[in-house]
Amino acid sequence: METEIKWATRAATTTGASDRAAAPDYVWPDGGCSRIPFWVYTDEAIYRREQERIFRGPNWAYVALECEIPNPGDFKRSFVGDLPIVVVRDTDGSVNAFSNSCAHRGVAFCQSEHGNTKSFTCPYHHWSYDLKGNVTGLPFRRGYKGKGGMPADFDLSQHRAQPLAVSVRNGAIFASFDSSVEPFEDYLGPRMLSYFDRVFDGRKLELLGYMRQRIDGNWKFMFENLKDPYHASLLHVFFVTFGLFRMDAESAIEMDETGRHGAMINRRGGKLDDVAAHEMRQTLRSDMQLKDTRVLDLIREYPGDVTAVMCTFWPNLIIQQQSNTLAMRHVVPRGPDSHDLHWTFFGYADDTPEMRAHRIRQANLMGPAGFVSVDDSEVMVMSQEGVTPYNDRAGVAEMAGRTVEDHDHTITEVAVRGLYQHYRKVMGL
Amino acid sequence: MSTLTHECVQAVSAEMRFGIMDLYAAYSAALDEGRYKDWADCFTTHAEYRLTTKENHDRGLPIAIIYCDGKGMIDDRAFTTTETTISQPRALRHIVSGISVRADGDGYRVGADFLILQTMLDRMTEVVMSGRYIDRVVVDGDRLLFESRVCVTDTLLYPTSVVAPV
Repeated sequence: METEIKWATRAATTTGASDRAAAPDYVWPDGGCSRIPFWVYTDEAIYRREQERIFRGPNWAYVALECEIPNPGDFKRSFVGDLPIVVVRDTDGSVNAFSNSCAHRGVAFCQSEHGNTKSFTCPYHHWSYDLKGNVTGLPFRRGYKGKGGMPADFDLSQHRAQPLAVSVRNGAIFASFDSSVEPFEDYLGPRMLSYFDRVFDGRKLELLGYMRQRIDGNWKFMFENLKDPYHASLLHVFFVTFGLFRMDAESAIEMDETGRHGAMINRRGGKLDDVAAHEMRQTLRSDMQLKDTRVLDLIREYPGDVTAVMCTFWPNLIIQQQSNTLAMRHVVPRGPDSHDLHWTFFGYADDTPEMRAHRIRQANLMGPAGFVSVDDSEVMVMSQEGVTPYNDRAGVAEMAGRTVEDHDHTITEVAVRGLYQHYRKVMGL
Repeated sequence: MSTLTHECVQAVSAEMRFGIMDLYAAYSAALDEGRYKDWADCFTTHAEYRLTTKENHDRGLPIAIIYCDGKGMIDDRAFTTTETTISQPRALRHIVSGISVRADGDGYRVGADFLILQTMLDRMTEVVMSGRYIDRVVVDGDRLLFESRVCVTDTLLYPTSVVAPV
């Protein structure tokens, strides 16, 4: 069934003047969070409002791992939303983050992907910065032979690269443009924090490397994908056939109180019953076998019998723990119809050589060429191809109901509804 | 005076160079024509195949976008490419140039530049990646095969997905 979208010019009572200028009023279709109007994936004004309210808003965005910048002066480029920032380890060991945009004329002054430095200098007019993002000097400030120079009342201390609040927990670094953001632990809530701490348990991490891809689909498709276990037993032939993820396995979908964060918790499939096999008949290929099954090996390393937990932490992070492959998937929006996905693979510094080799081998499941994740990135492009020209329509997310609560199975779109319940509130839609 | 240094190197016969070029041509043709089993058969039993970025390679970071440790994994990659991967239809074309060959004990150190073009239904032909093959080729029975192929891409940000080996 199609849902009619009402494009109404509503008297703007709840939104500020800047919002009105930035976006016309959109009316969410009837059906609440079980309906998703396609204009959330296509509209420029919606995209700009997302950058303003979500990525510049009071949220903790993932920006880096500590093991990427272990030593004082180590830095890396990163992003919050589509805003470029620099993340740097200060001389006292703390972590700073500031906008990669010169206080003078806006130049993205840090052009190295990573490195070690005592200071940053903008290449354009040589304004220099300390590791906190403060401007420490600029050439010809006093002019030359009495000519030129900054006005006498120019106050250097009033100029700096815009700082972000930073929170570090057990090796992962989060940042926020809005310093009013609640403490990181409260932001995640106790249950999501327990899933975070499950992987980030305080052990030192080892950086294993990077993969990056640009996916021509809206950034929310990536988030939804990891909140939608319904697709996993149908789209992913590899997962289902080799038993890594099956809808008949014992599993759960859990969220924080707001619905913005989620965790998809799975165990590997056991003996397959006839009903499940029938529903998955197009996906399940019982004739298939791998010649080298090491990629499927599971080395138990966390308490309990759960084999995969995929966390979606609002607004830009997916924590991947599938068997022994661990990665941060950092979502960087690139306009309404495209996003980049930055994968940072890691292990623990105390991994045995066998475990380290296994993680590297099992990474074949994931990334731009992953046995499983190729399917997702390809489908997101197909999604964008379908929603852009039909952006007067709305999608249906009614699997396992129309409301938002935790479920003890994966035949559900409940976490997608949770996401849009929160999204509507934040976006004023 | 010539500025070239004339290293004293083990000569590689013209016959061997042409043989290696034929292996390269067969490899590219197998991929571009979607004959992934033939692609897998370009490798020795204990071969290593890796696709990684220049960033990972230069920094010594071990993760690879595709990593096969032995022919079994290479066969599995060939198999999954056609049998389990869901992807949009596309044509891929390998442009390989500048093959350099150096004798190295019982094998050959070979390198070449590559460019991969992609053509999809509603898109113009686009560059997927550029990079360099870093290879070791050996004589295996009556064939020349890859004992090791490391594909190091200049490209750091892949367009959508890497749906097939490189």
